Amino acid sequence: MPPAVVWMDGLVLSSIYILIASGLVLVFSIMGIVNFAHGQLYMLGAFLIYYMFARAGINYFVSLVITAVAIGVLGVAIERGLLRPLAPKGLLPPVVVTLGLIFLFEGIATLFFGPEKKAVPSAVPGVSSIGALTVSNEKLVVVAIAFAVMVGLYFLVSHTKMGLAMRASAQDPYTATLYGVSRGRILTLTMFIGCALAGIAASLMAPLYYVDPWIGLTPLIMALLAIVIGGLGSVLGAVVGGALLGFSGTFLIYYLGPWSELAAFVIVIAVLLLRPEGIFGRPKA
Amino acid sequence: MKKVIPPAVGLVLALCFPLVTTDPFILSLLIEAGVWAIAVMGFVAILRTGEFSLGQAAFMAIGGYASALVTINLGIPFWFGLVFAGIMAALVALALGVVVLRLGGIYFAIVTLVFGEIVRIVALNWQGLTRGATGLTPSAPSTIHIGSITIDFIASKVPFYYLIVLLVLVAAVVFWRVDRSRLGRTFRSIASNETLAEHMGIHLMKYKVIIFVIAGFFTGIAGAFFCHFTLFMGPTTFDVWDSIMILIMGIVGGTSSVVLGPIIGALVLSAGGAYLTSALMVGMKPLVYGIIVIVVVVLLPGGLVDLGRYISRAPRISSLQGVKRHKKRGN
Amino acid sequence: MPILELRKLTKRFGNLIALREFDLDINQGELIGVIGPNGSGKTTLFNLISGYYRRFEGEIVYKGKRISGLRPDQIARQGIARVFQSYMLYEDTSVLENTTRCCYLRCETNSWQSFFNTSRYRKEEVNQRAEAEELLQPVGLAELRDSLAGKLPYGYCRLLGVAMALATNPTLLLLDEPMAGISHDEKGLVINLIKKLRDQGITVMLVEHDVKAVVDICPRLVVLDFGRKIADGRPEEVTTDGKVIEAYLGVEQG
Repeated sequence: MPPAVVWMDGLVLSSIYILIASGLVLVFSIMGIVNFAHGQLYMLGAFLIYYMFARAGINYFVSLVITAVAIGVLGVAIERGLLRPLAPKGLLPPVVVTLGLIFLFEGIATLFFGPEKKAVPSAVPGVSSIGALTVSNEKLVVVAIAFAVMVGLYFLVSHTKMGLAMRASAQDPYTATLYGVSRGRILTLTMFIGCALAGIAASLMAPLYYVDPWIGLTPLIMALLAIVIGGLGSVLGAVVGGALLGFSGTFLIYYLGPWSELAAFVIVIAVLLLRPEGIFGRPKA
Repeated sequence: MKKVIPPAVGLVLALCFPLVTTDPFILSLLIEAGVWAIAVMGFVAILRTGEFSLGQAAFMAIGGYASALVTINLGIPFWFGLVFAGIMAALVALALGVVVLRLGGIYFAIVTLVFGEIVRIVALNWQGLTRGATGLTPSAPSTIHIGSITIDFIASKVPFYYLIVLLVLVAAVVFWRVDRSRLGRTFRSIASNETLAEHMGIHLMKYKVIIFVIAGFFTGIAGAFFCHFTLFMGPTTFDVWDSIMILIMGIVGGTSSVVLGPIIGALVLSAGGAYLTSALMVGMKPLVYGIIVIVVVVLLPGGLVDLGRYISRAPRISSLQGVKRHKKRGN
Repeated sequence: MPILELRKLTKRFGNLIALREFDLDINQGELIGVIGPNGSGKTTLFNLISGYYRRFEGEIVYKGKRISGLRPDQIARQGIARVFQSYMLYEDTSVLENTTRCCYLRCETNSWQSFFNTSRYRKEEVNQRAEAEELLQPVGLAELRDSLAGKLPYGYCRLLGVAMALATNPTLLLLDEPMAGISHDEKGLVINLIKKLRDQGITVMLVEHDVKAVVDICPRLVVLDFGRKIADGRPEEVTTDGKVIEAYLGVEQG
């Protein structure tokens, strides 16, 4: 049984993975494509929080909200400007565009923000005691906010009219339009939420890690693996997948050190072989 | 007969190029472009069965390490190292393909992307074998003496240049021949409509694995060549970014063409990119690459090859659309 | 011995049972129609036989060989070909190329010979080209050989589908709703085609919604309702069977 601190770290890592993966799978479930630039949006969010909170001294929580909204808006711009016009040409062109965006954003970040690693100070400094465990407040904040956001997302998707519209459009876009659900509005809304989630994840992660133009790659990979394990198109699957990867990641690091990522990969392959559609995916007959 | 003329001309031009200049910088640009051209041919070949491999750079890494290890530790000559690299990469492609090609579609794309990361991590951490981040330092092929002619790989880049031209030629002939044969027709059937192809007697997995292995073989050789050219092989020599670059080169060149598209894409982006890195600020290269990809996808989805067709007024094929869509799940 | 034996075929989708303990024996050369109201499991039946669904309960035996759970390409190799109901063509290429691609199973040269472009391979290619053209004759598509398959009108698509299925030299042909969506005149063409196939000795099993057309051509009818076989016999018997009428029209009240 790993020590409590490993569990805590697992919880923190899972929180971040869950946020990113949920954002990615939301977009996928509505648009049918994987936004490979999702990791770069996360990276840009991290830079935003750096400039606002670490440099300009704006309150952390205010910065977080602004980052979330800004990244959401950026996502909408991408969706409206690039992805939607290309959608009629099939599923491949938009995906290739998102891959191109990976480079584009890397270039922009390197040119405007510089390649050096930047540090973001703690939002809530200090430590607290939970039982015998001493935890940095920062980590508690991360878990708390991630939890709150996911609960909010859950309520949005399952208990509001907007969420109902989203689910309808995800299942059958055309029929949904017959019931007054504007596909364009849903696309915009979903992209906004999905990318905002990445912005939130980045804001939460920034004080714990560092910021540079290449921090988006690993979260992208983890998010992809999470939604693949969980089942493409299932938000619950993304949550479970994210949690699985977050916890197994920290456990594996504790036991295996640097080989943890290889082990995670092997686990994912194993899951896919046993159940190719993912945990919550629908099986092919 | 008419169709042979442009490639023959291109080949002659390529062969005569060092007579015009032996500037090592320019030759290096072209040599690198040749390496990527082979990798992109592999990517496009796989794409033409409807599958999207985002991990081709991983096979370059595998080939590079295989050749480096075998030439350094076992003293095996470069030429055998090259072949060994291809075989190793092909074997890994076989193992991986058999396991993950059945997933198909976006799952396959994601797994291949992650596979690239995994290769990097293994290379980084298996210090005993790969010396981790320090990397390996393979040497150039030893000097060859044929009668009174000396081919010195260390003194000049020209022998490397001719070698890569030869390798590109061999790869091109193989990929082109596969595409023209019944194998190619079978691949096109699979890309066009998997269910139909299956019901017409085509064993999908067999063919997808075949092309994945062939692509892996040549891609591994390309990687091995590269590390003996740059005299270094490390975990970051070929990483995920490179896999995406290969895709970008393929798209920019044009996926409707098996050989010419990849070569054009590699030349434009690799040679062009290297120039950009040297001439402009850091960060400019990925930015420009990103812009080029987006511009090509939006304006010229068939890639630069289509531009050539436009000029010669041959029929344009937008192959991005011809490739299989995301597999519909469910009944 | 029957050419196709279906034993207790059952297919579930979660809680929905699409096919229930379906038994059927078909003899060589028979022309048999499977009818039933919407959702009765007709297409599911074909999906099981052709290998599109591979997880189900029960057994399928073809020419004495167990084929349950085999892949579609393996089943095609056994001699079972399927003509699909909806668009199932190589839409991005010509009509002729469509049939040429379906001649895959006729090839005797292997991949190596094709790669090295041996003379035997080249000869076979030329022959196959001719065969592919020939396949278009009986369905009347020879003139349209260079048209883009994706742009064909629906009726022609169905005919092309038949030509393509025949390219595999089948001994059992599964026709999925051949009368669906085609005009009155084309119906005559299709009926003639089916009769010709039967005359050639190919066993034909068709699934159909248009009961009238089927009653005229098929000497034997099987009726499905909610996944269960409720009748099996000559058209006169089946169409007057109370259970069948009930299935289609519902029970009379009062």
